[in-house]
Amino acid sequence: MSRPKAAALCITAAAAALLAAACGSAQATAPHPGGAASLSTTVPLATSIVTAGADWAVLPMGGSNPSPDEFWELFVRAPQATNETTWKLATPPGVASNGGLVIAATGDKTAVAGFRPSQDLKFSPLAATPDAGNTWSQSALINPGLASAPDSLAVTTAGALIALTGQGQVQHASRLGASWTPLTSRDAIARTPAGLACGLASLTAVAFTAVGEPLLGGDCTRPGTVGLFTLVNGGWQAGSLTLPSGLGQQPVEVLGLSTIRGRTTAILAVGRGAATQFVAAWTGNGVGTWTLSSQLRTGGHTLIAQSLWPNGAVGLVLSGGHAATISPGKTWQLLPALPPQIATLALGPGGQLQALAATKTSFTAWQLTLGAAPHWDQIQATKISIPYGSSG
Amino acid sequence: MPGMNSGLTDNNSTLIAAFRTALLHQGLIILALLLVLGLVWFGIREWVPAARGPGHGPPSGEADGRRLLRIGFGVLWIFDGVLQAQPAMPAGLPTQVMEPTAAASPTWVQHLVNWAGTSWSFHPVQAGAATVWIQLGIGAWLIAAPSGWPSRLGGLASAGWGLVVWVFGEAFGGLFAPGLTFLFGAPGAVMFYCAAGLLIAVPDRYWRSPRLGRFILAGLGVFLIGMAVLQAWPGRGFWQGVVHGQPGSLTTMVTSMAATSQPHVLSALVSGFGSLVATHGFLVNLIAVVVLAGCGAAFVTAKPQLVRPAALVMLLFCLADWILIEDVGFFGGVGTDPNSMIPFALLIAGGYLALVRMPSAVPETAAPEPAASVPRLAATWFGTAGPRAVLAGWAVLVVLIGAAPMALAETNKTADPIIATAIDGNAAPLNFAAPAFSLTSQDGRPVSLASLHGKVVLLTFLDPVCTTDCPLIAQEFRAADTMLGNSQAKVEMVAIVANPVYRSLAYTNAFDRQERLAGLPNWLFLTGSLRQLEDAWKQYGITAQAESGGGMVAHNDVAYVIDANGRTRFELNFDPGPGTASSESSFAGELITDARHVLRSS
Repeated sequence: MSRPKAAALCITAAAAALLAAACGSAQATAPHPGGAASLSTTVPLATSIVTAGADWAVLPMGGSNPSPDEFWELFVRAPQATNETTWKLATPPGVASNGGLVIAATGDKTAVAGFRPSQDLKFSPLAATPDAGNTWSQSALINPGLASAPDSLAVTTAGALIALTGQGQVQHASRLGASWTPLTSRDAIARTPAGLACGLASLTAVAFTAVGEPLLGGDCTRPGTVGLFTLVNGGWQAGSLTLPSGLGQQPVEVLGLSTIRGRTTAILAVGRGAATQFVAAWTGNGVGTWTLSSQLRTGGHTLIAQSLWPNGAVGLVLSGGHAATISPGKTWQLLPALPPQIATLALGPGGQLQALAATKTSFTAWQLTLGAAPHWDQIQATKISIPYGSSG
Repeated sequence: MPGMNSGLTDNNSTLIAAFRTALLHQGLIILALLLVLGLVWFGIREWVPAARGPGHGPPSGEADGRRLLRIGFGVLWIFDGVLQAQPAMPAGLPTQVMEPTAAASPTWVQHLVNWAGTSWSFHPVQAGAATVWIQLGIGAWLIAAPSGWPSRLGGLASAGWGLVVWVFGEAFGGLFAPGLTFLFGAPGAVMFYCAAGLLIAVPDRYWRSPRLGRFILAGLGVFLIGMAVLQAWPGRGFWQGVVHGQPGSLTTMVTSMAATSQPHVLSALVSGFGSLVATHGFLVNLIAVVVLAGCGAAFVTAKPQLVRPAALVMLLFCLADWILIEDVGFFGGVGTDPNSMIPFALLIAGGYLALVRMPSAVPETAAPEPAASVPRLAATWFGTAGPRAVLAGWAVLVVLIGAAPMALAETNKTADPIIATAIDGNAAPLNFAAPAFSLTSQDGRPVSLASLHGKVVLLTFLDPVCTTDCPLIAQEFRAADTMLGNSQAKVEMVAIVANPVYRSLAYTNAFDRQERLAGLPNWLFLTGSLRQLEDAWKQYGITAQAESGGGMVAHNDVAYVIDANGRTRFELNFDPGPGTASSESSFAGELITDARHVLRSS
């Protein structure tokens, strides 16, 4: 990210501090649901990202999942350029979005959106925008299609791209629009010493380090091993992230991976099922020393959305109306009960926490009001024209 | 199960009209045959003196039990044949009868049924009509032929066709699926048709001994005891009307049957019984178990004094089950038979009669005097046959005439063009100069319509990032190319990009690889600048509109057949429907039919 979004960063930090004050009594354990639901660490696609030029959010609308009437929508807000404070629909036209959308942004108003395969489409068309979603054009496609993970696509400020396909291949492109070339694959990494040590089951996320080297996240079957892989001198090596002894006996999956303005953030799921705990990890360059957060016990609630924001801030939405955020050096903060149908958390123009809700045709944004009794205030409600029947 | 669906709704008017026409044509032929047979028979009797005798008509002395089975199942087959003539059958039988019946069965059963359903869906009109005539024919055959080898052959035909229906139409009567119960129709109504057919086929002498009756009743008794055990088996959901707040097995069955389209009186009766089962499930199941086990045991003894009341109880039980649980079986538009209780009741009655009422021995009838020549012998034999034998012969012809078109259709691997026509209507014949275009092929070569002069061009418009219709259309073109055989070199399959955003060579090539079109030597996927494409779209009446909100590009599905001189000869609506095996084959066949027509006239 070339241009720091100083105000947003400060406010993010302030928001985190305020949240700590507002929700200080919160325990880092989401309330346990009535049933014995087991946690699925399948990473949902719903997310939001924040850049200097625009903020983006991806969420599902229309019908139930999976169905031809579920359409993934991309919303954008470009506050720096237009003083815009509301979210606008910016889904790239020309492709059915039923399979899901993945977004990666360079830091200014440039972003690239990938369409996950659906029905008979087996590859992923890519669209690029230079102007925060006002116009889109075709970009080089990824074949086979993108993996079902929000961090299956990453881009550097210089426009270099890396993508993870649904078949576990990692491809890269030197710039936007350039054709993709194979970089590695799950199978190849699984055969390396790092992969063998991890017992690599699958690759789950891709990113670039602060110095522009590829960084891959995976799901390790060997307890206590974190599946982070960096390219060093042409060979794939394990990242230097190790878990404390208390977590060392459980399998670990990297759910999210992102480098923003020189800081790499990872979200880890430690354990399986209802015993899963989420841990955030940060490093300055992706290959150096990692700092680990405290653990967030899910209490059996499933992950609905994850968002990795600037300054290492992380927002998670769990089932049952639960949500939590964390920033480096802080502990997990549970947020007040979310309004209904929240698909993802986002950051407002001033760094305030927002929650974005999606129902069939309604997009609603809520903002957290801090104070003695923190609560969510509705700040936007927009009807979206869903192209029902167009993919049936 | 993939492939079973032709892609047509049950009430598709084109298909229904074609079905009715086929039935009418075959019906007229069948009536004409009856007329001819009748005239020949009367003629021979009039002009061949030897034929005017007492004849070799049906000997008397047919066992009452056999007669009951023969006539009873004959009537049932005729009733089933009439049910098969319902308009919804050609499109509905695979999806509404075969597929749901096999849904709970193991995969191998589903594959078997899927194969048959796919075969049906390739030729729905011929298959539907064939089933009507085969069943009507077998029914008439059984009724008309009371004895001798024609009658026994009729029994075998009944058993054989019943076996076909039992395996493919009833998925082995659900024998391999969970939840098997006599009350719902296990082991399949047609299994009883098969049993009856085999009994009709046994030599007459067996019917003159009570051993056959004992054998039948013992078989039925063992079957009923087995069904009683299954009905009583704990954990199968029959003992409770409601399980954990959810309707039990019997309640579910009854309430689902009550929801079928049927006369109000019947649905009210079945609904009422459903409520009774929900509240008194244990009692209802207890009665069923006791009746099944008790009657079964009585049948096994084969003692008339025990069999008589047991048969009476079982007949009443069958009647109650038929009305209250099986809901008479044939309402709803795709009912194929009156379900299992009527044929089972016939078997019980037949078995009882075989036990207690045997015919006396029938003296051998004298053979007709040998005639001077074979034709004269045949004429004499035919002339001396009774009217029922003539009717039986005609019934055999009904079966053959019904089966022949289906057998002929099955030799054609291409699905009936009626499917494509029913979805999109007929191709429109045209004759005007095709609009020119100048675009770029998937390998970067410039291609214009003029450069394709001398070849028949099959032209369509495809979106390379389309998720539904375009991949199906591409597969139809690919199938059509295979069907072309040696004519491939004379035909160029051409698609023009129909997406204003995603139109680069990378996308056309990715689409070609995805649809396995990349290796076809006569396949061209053309693209160009947005202006070039918009020009081509305008010339050919194509709209390609990118929708907001994550929708696909909306464009019309159309195909053109352009002759070797560059003239548009046919326009085909080419909405591919659901893209089932049969609809894909049908569309490809339609395309090739038009292409061949143009090739011949070029």
